[in-house]
Amino acid sequence: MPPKRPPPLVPKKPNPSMNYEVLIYLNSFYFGMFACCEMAMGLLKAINLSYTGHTLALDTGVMISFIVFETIRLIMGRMSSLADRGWSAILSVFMTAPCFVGVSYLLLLQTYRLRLEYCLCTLQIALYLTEVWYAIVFVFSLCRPVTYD
Amino acid sequence: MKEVLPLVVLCLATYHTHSIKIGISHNYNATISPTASTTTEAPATTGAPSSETVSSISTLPEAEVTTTTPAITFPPRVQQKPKVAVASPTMSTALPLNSTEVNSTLSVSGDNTFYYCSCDLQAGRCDLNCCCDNDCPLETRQVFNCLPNSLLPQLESRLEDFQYTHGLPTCQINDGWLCVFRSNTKATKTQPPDMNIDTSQYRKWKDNLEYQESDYAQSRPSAGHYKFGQTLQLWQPETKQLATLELPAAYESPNCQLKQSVWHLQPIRHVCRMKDSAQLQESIWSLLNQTSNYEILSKPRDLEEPEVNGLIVQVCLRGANKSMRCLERGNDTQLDVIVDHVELQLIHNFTNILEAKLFLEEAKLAEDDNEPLWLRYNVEFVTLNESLTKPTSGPLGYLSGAPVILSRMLPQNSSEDKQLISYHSLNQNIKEFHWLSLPSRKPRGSSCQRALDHKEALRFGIDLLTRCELRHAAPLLQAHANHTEYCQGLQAQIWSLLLPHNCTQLEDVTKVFVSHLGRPQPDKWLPMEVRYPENVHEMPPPVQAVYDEMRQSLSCRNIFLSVGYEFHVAHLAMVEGRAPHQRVLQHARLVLGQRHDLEFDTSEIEVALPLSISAMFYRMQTKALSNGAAVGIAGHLVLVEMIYLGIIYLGSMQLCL
Repeated sequence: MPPKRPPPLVPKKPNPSMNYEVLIYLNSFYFGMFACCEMAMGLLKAINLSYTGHTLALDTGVMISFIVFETIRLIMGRMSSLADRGWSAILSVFMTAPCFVGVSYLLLLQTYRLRLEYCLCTLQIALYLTEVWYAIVFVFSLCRPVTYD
Repeated sequence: MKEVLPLVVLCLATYHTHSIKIGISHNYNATISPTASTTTEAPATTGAPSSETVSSISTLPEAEVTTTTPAITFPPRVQQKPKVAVASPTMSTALPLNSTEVNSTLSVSGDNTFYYCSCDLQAGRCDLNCCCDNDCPLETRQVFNCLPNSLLPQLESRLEDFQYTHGLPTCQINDGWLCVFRSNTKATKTQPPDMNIDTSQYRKWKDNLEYQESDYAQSRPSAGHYKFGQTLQLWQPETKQLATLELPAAYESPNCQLKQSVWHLQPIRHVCRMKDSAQLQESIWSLLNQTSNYEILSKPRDLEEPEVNGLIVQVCLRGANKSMRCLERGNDTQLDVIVDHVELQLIHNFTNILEAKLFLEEAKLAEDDNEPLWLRYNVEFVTLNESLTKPTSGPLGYLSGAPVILSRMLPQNSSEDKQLISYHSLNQNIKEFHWLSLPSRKPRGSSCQRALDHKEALRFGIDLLTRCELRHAAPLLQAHANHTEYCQGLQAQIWSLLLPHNCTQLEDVTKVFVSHLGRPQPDKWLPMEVRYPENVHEMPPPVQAVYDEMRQSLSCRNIFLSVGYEFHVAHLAMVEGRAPHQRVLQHARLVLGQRHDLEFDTSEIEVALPLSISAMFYRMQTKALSNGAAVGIAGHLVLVEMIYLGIIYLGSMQLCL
């Protein structure tokens, strides 16, 4: 009988961007609810409250811009993954910054802030911080040496 | 504050009191009770002094033990727990019943539910230059300086000034998820005032003739009546000349070298310092001369009318004993008294002046000749048929510095009659005192005095601490004297100074109510709660008297010498947000101080008791609300975030597996 050949060495391939992908996936559903609530509350405020100058147009413009940017960010984040070095996923991480600015405006600088709006924006900011954290963890995981079984 | 107050009382007692010993009352142990009962019974057995009585006392071993123990400073107190136990249930059940009855019988007045006028400070009386006051007649719209609605102030930059709109109230008005939590509204930008850059108008004197012509032009449209702030006019029938009524003004100097015109519906109060009585007489004479030669025009002069009817100023002399004597009009009128108070009373119907009276008040003789002479000028505008009104302390909430309004529950004549607050009673006495008058120190002394005067009433938002002495005759240190009656009378006299007026017992305080609002309403009264810090659920122990025949001393136990009034203040937006920043009272409490034992001996004729009373206003409601809201929201957010992160972690773990 000829002797058995040893099995070839195959490196482990863990997916370090799994957490980020999960957060993007969950954020897509939460943001859908968030956008609907924000637009409904914006309409409610426009009808019932009085605005001076151009504050209503400013608030509405910022809200719509934020919704568009966040939608694009989520679509790009779900199209690819960080582990595959996809440009869309990387760009979605960088787009978190302007989206963070937008939600901060809604939380702090908006003319009238409702209590429900306050809570929703706070949760959104918590999601952003978590996503950025896991993106940073992914970057550090790239420096880890390759191990073989 | 509670810890410092007893120390202050003790320091005051140590410093001021020389004739009595004041100690803090304690609850003695049960082991001392038998000795106390024995000591109390001793005076009964020694009714008649004799050698046999002395020998009987000396043979008791327990008495020897009591007298030789150095640790006990005062004779031990007799424990009367059964009486306290019997009294406390009655008091605890009575207060809720009274509160319930008052709340159930008070009817809500719907007329004032949505009425709010920020300048309506007097209920039932027209406030001067107050355009939204419902008590003002319709003619006042033409007299007062009413701003049009277009000039109303715009939105302010604070959430409290946010105007209420149906559907989205602020969280303070209607708490919920869709309430306005924060607001970043900004004030409208004001246009900078136009600067006159035409240098040709610089350094030129004012054209007086043009000013007078413009003045006449302005007065023509309103020739029928005076306007608020318009100068009153004088008319001299002989020379047919117009003049203005002017009085000395204490502006930047008490010497009153300047003069101020009398304006319509604007009271004037000035106090002028006179060099000597000659100057005083000269000032009075000048004013009398003016009033005798001129007449006050009831309305502004109309050049188209040929005849002018002026009002003659009637001069009346008011004596020291409030007697009044009116003088006849004439050039040779002489005054035989020194006058230090001049009051010009103008009776009006808001549009015209109907009557004018000049009251001269006789000066009181000063004890010291070197004291300066002061001459007071007052101008009062009195409405025709002006009626007395109930005291109020603000348009809706309390104004800062306004007196706190008190009232008491009227006695119930029969079971069918509803219990009413005396403030809202129809048959109430107009002169009834509706404020909290606190004792004060007499001038040039430290004795306590209490005056039922609204100037001495407790002011809203002003904390105070008063310490004074109550002087009382020393007790008769004899065995047959009624010592209990003396001690109880002493405590009653103390209560009459520390408690609200007409209260000589703690039970009377339960009938006292404090108004929740500066403008009292029938259903907005707060009961004055009595709080005993040593035992919150029980009433304080009764006053006891212990007489020690051997030492010839009397001890009054459980005596209170200090109380503290605590008021909790809240800032609310009322009338559905149309009345923001209203200061209201949420809670009123009378906190009793520490109990004391007073020991009197034979060397005293009069005793001086140090009393202390404090009044504090706390903004506990606002602080509690803000802290509670912040903590609640933060807690909810943290909990939601933790749950959310947990779900994310579990999801990621499942996906990894």
